[in-house]
Amino acid sequence: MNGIEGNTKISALDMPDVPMGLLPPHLELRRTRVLCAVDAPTHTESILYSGAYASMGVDNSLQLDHFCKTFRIEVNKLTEEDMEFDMIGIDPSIANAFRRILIAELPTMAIEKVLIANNTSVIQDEVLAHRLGLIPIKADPRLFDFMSENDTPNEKNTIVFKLHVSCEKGGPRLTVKTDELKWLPSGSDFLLETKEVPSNPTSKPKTYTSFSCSQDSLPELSANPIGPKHPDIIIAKLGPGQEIELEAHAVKGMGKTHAKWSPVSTAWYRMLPEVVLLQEVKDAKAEELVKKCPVNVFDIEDIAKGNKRATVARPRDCTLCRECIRGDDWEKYVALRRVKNHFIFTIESTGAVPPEVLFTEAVKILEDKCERVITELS
Amino acid sequence: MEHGSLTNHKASTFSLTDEDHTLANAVRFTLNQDPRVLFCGYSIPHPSDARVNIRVQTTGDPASEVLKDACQDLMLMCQHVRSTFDKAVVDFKMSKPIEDMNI
Repeated sequence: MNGIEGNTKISALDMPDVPMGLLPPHLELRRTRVLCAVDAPTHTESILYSGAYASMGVDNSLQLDHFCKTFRIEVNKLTEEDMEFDMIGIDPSIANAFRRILIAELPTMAIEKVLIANNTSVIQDEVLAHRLGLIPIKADPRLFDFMSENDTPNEKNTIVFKLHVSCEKGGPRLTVKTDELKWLPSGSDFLLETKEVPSNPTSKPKTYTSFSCSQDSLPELSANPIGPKHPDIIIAKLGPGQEIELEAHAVKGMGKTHAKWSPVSTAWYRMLPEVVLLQEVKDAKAEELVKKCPVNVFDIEDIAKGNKRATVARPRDCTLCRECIRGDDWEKYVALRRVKNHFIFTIESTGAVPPEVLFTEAVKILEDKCERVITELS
Repeated sequence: MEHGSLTNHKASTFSLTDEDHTLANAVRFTLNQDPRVLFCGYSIPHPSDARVNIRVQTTGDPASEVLKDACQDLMLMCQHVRSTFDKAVVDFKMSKPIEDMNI
């Protein structure tokens, strides 16, 4: 798209001829861009119907090879916790499907059952259990299985943590942080109460979990020990003489059931902004335009004879605040648009799984859903 | 689960359980782009039930075939997305240490 376009009205019969197979520029604009006016965005829906441009000889149907050729991904930022990348050439329905899966359908481990032996603090039992559930746990959920109601907790589906803190009488107040949560790789320590006398007095007493082997004997887990991701999250505060003793069992779940199981703190996308100057903006108006924009999208360019001209320097930073088109007449100079098939995706992981693995798993889950529908149909 | 007519296979409604907008909107996109499809849409009868109804009306082919093809297309698109993404991540990771060394 050129930086400067004419805005005079031309009769449709006088427009330049377009080769068969391409759309005239005004229709191409409608198909690929969302126009953001002062009041509301227009042309927001993607034109799905395969025969929409049949009279012009343009085939709007989904051609897989065209998709495979034009689809691109460019990674902008990648750290352990978050990533930002561009997806170019994909439809919003699929980008939204990925976003929804990232938030709600990727499994993670989170504390679900809390066995409280002693809680004399001012934090109520249920509030304490709720806070423990929200703590992100650094454990790869792919190593564990889902636990249904009839299963016994064993080393394949449960992670056991222990918290035992007390504040001495006469001592200062104590803040309980997540580094007090200790991982118990061999399972629960709390004994189940049984009424019958055990037939074999030397057998191991039954606890709340039945681990057949210790979890740190598994090769993946011995290298990265399981624990809370951040050691400094405050769980509770204790006054002198108060004590908390509990055991927390973490299981695998999905964000659909409860937000504690969501592997991302959030994931979002936005369409690539396109800022276009419809007319030349010179001198005083150019200075005004540059000052208006709060994120400095525009820049001043000096052209000959001391004249200044405004140019669009950083359209990607545009937040669509519409300051540049507010006020009288500015709509004639600046056009704000969004590119319909270019998405800037940002994924912020809670830390259990790195963000690039999260996205790959999300795509796999969408593929599995499709396969389930296909097998159901055949 | 397909709710259709025994005589006319060109149009029917498919009721999928345990699904929501995530899959339905994506399938509706691929279905709409198929030239054999006359009408396609999805609805969620009640937000508390995890059930989606997808209606497909075609120009002649059986509706279940068209839906199957659309799901296949979606799967192929996902596989392509996955491979492109993996390659892009690997390229980014390889280019980053070079930048760090240059600085």
